[in-house]
Amino acid sequence: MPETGGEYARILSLARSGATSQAWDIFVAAGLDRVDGDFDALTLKGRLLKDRARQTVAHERTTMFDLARNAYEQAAALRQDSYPLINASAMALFAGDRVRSELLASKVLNLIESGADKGETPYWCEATRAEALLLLGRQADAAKSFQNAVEQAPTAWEDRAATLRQFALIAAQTNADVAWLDRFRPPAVLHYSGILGIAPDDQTAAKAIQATIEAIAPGFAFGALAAGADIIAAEYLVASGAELNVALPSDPSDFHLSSVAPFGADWEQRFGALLDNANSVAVCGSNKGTSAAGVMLAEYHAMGMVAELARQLETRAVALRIEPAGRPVLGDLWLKSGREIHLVEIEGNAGLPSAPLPKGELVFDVAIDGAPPETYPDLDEALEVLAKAGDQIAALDCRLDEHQRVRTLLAHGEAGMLVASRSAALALLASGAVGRVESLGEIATPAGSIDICLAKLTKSGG
Amino acid sequence: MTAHMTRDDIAVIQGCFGCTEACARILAAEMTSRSVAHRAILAIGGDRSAHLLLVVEGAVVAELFCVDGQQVQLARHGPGEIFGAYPDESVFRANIAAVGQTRLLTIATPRLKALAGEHAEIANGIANLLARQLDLVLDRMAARIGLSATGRFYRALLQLSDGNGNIEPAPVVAALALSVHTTRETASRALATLVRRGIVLRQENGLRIVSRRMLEELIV
Repeated sequence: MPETGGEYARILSLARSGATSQAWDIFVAAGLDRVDGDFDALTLKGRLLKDRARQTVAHERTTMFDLARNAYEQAAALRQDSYPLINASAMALFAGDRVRSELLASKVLNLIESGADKGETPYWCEATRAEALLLLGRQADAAKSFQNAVEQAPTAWEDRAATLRQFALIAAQTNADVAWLDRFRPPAVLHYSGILGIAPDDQTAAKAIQATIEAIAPGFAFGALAAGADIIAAEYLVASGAELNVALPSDPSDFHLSSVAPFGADWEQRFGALLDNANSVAVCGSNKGTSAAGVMLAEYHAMGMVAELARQLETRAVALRIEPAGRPVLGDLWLKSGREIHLVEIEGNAGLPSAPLPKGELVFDVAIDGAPPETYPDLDEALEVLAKAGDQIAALDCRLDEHQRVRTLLAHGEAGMLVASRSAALALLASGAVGRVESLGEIATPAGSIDICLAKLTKSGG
Repeated sequence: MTAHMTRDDIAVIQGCFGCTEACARILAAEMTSRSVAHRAILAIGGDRSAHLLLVVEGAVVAELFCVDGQQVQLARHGPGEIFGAYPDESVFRANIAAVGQTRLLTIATPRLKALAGEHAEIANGIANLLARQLDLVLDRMAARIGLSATGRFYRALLQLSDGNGNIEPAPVVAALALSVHTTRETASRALATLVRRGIVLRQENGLRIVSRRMLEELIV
């Protein structure tokens, strides 16, 4: 790669976030489109042209795919490597040149069979073989190779998802029936939440929750661990082998005091055991204690993580709500997304502590280009304003404290894109207002670091 | 070395001071590991400051009360950062409180100064630590965008590898995490992801980067 390391990373981030035009503009401004002797520059060029092809009008698409094919072939000429070659084959197919696509796919197979190329990882060696076979129309062999790839790395979920995406595109182009792909799809990602005030030994509630979790069969779960439905659900998730990721509104010691200990020692022991078993524990609220607003922010965080992971893994994003019958769930951000939701109807049968959580305040800050930031009490109002930003640079943050940070974000935006703090970006994902977000990195501030993301609004959240 | 020091602590000291293991052991012999609970007050503004403290887990915040009674956060020090007094004892400028369960390695300021006079490596390590801390402060004032925590960890792994992608011996994850100012948990999860995807292979003598390109793509 030429001396463009920082720009290379930024171009990739933009491309991944869906900012295809901006990524291409920086690529061209850096002179990388004219580089023809560098493997990395050429494969990046192929990738950007492929993204542009997918977004362009039909009559230009073929040309763009062919340009992408050319970039990948040029890269393949520099190094014996199946990665650019298999991409060149797919691009040729999308450009309508099936003969060339099959010729390139045969080259990939020969390269792998000769042992000259072992793929980037053991998974990718077999997955690339599977793709070449699919491009050659040998579906049964492709399925067998895909199975081998999965056996090489059964939990390389992200890579498997990339293969599923690519195979679906190839199948759409060739009108192939690839229903067999579904058996390779990673398990669902679940957001769970439910009521407090269930007796620790309530078998009716436990059985209903267990049955629903078994039906959803998630492989990954995100949620809190309040005494009651949360803990019961989390226990079944861990027992079923799902990866538990905990999102709390305050430090675990504070959360324990506010939302577990008041309900009895039994819950305390179960809370501790689940924390020990969790794959990750995120504190999303405040370091000043638990508040109702913090609980809401932690829920947004967990729901956003579910939406993000499900998209990355090409699988279902599912919500589980454990609530009394008839309890309105209209305030649930998940409902706005239109994604799958399951309701387990149970009644609380244990007393609640007399002191409710402090209310707290969750607000959303919006900044658009040079205008002074505005603060909104909920995401919908912030989204209405952002929807009107058009091609301006816009920033979104959410916070529980008095420290407004949204101006800091604005400096790192791109025209027509939304730059958001990670917590705000996850709320956007949860609501379905954006389809994906891409990390841009971290801004260091005296009050701590802010992870920032780039996103493109797909719809208003209202 | 106190009874509380572990092999990981030695590696952490070695990594943070950029010194040999022998020097790290000399420092460890003078250091104490101290664990404090979330929101524990470590010092009140005006208290005598007679130690240099290294954050190993968790974080601390320095907070001031303004004349209008508002609490203002002056600074936040996370994993791998130092605070306290050096080269001379002084007083804390602000209240210091822990954020989350926090562990610190502490050393008396006069002892550290004496060790710096005796061992060039330790003096060099202190200079590096202070320079890095200054860099962090300037970065924070500039609100500059940098790599994410996992991005920094992945870059550190790449930098440790030889021309064949081997990292030998295996890095102590806790120490490597601190060198890039992140937590051991974040670093452990990041490494586990690489291993799960086959991008990095654990082998007898260390780690091997199987796909440099895939690892580079994760550095964001």
